[in-house]
Amino acid sequence: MGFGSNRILKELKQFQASDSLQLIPSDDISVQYVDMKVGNNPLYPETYRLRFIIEDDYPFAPPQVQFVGPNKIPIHPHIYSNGHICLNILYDGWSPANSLRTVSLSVQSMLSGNTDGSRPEGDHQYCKSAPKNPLHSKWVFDDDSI
Amino acid sequence: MDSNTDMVDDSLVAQSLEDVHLTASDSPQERRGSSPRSVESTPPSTPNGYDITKELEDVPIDLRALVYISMPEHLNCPVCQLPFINPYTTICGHTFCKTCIMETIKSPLGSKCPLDRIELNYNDERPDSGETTFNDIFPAPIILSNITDDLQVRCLNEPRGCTWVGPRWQIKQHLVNNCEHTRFECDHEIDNKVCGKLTERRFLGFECPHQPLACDKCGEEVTLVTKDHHLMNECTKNLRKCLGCNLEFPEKVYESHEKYCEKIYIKCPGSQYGCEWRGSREVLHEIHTSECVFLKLSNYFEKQETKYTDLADENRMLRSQLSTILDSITQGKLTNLGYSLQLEEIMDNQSVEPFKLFDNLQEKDFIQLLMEFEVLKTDVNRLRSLVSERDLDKQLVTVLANDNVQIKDELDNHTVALTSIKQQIQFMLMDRRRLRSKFNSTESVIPSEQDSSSSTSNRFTNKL
Repeated sequence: MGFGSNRILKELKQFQASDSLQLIPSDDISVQYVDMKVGNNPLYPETYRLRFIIEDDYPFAPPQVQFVGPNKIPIHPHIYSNGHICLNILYDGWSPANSLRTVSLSVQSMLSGNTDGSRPEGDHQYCKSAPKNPLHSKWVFDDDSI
Repeated sequence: MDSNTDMVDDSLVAQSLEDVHLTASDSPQERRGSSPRSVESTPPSTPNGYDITKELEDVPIDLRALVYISMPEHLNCPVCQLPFINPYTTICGHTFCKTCIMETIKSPLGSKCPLDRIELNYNDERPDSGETTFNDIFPAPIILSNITDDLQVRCLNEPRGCTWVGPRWQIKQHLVNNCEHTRFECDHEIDNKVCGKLTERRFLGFECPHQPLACDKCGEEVTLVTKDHHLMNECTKNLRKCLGCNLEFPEKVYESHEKYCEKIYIKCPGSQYGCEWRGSREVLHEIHTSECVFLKLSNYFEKQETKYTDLADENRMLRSQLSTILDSITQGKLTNLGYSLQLEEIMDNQSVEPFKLFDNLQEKDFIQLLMEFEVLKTDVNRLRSLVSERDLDKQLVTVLANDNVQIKDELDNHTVALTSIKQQIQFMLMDRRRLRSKFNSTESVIPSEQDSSSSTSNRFTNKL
């Protein structure tokens, strides 16, 4: 993982002073969970869990980021019911200057600004054929408004 | 200690060789090429220290494994989030470690600045010079390397007990030449074979430290290297007397005994809040605990302390965020990534509506202001004509005043002339009277009828 592991340890510390983003202690440094609360939006009253799988080439390649159970998957036109998130910074738009925390904040703000309580188009179809790793999906980013 | 078995040593050698590949000056390809280390086998939180297994000149040091005494946020590379190592600056003003920015260019992001995604032009390796030249990526000002090289770091052998702290530029010299905990391959011979085990510098002497010895206390077979560890953790005859109960315990269990001995003197648990009581644990539990005010308040104190540290943490985080934002504002780059990614996202997502509203409002305001401006303009024009009229009047008045003065002067002249004429006439009249009286005396014998006429003429002159 190069210097990635050192960096992850540092990044995990950045979560400590945050209330709406709670890092779940994990034994395996390459798999991290973050519990997310979204304030001020009645669409998302619950706590949602994000999973990060950090690969060897992190931070030069993006981590795998998706929502996982046991909590519910938030309903959002860019979040599939299998937890995959359509957000360009998680794929093509990744920059090594991003971190687990900035990614979490981006997802959080994506939720808090949303007013559309629906799944993306073709949700069922995608979930049937989607690869396990969201990085292996082919994403098309066409909507800049949300 | 960590040098008990060959197995451990071998794995450490393997790891240290890999660490060599991770040094700042090495190319990233090598890093990728090295077999991925599974995280479980080498937990990164417990680095093992520094070993020298090759020639002394050829011992790169993994600067990224260093532990810094203080890490100023502004000196951290945004990519590796550690103080810059060989910093390079981009045309857009951002600075990274050289390896970090080079690796970024090879990553899917491509040749863009990781912070603001500005396209960076660079030339690939030139075949003639073998040097990679970059137009938009160049070495950062030397002062930056000086500052980062002067940051205080701990020795890489800290887990083995080295307490050295010094500037980063000294770490290599310390590890290679001075540190007692740097490990070398033992070059002594045992049974005609080179020992070859990795051994800390402090054990290297005239004799091989791996030769078996008998423990002074129990007679078990130890070596110079393992002796300390044996005495503290294994030996059953290395006894230490407890100060409380006067019983003797082996070192390895002494610590746990100390925790439970009822007789040993300890401080009151409330001592950190000011209680000065000292006594045996027995008395503490039976008497002092129920009396001590500090102990009773300690719950409250603890709560306050955690609150305080939480707030301090939050404060520090907010301060760093604020300074990052201020930085980007002063650089005029609020829209870049890094921190500003969040800003951008939040603006995109949350503030679209309010912004539109704001725009409309501005337009309305603008029109209103424009109308007011027009009204004021006509007012000003009107006033200007009035003022010019007033100016003309003023000129006229001054001309008149001048005329007035002139006329007054003339008048004065005239008055003077008049008075002089008056005087002259009086003088002439006087003269005439004198002449008349003379004339009268000479003709005193004039007949009386002529007298009356002369008296009337006399009367006439008097009138004049």
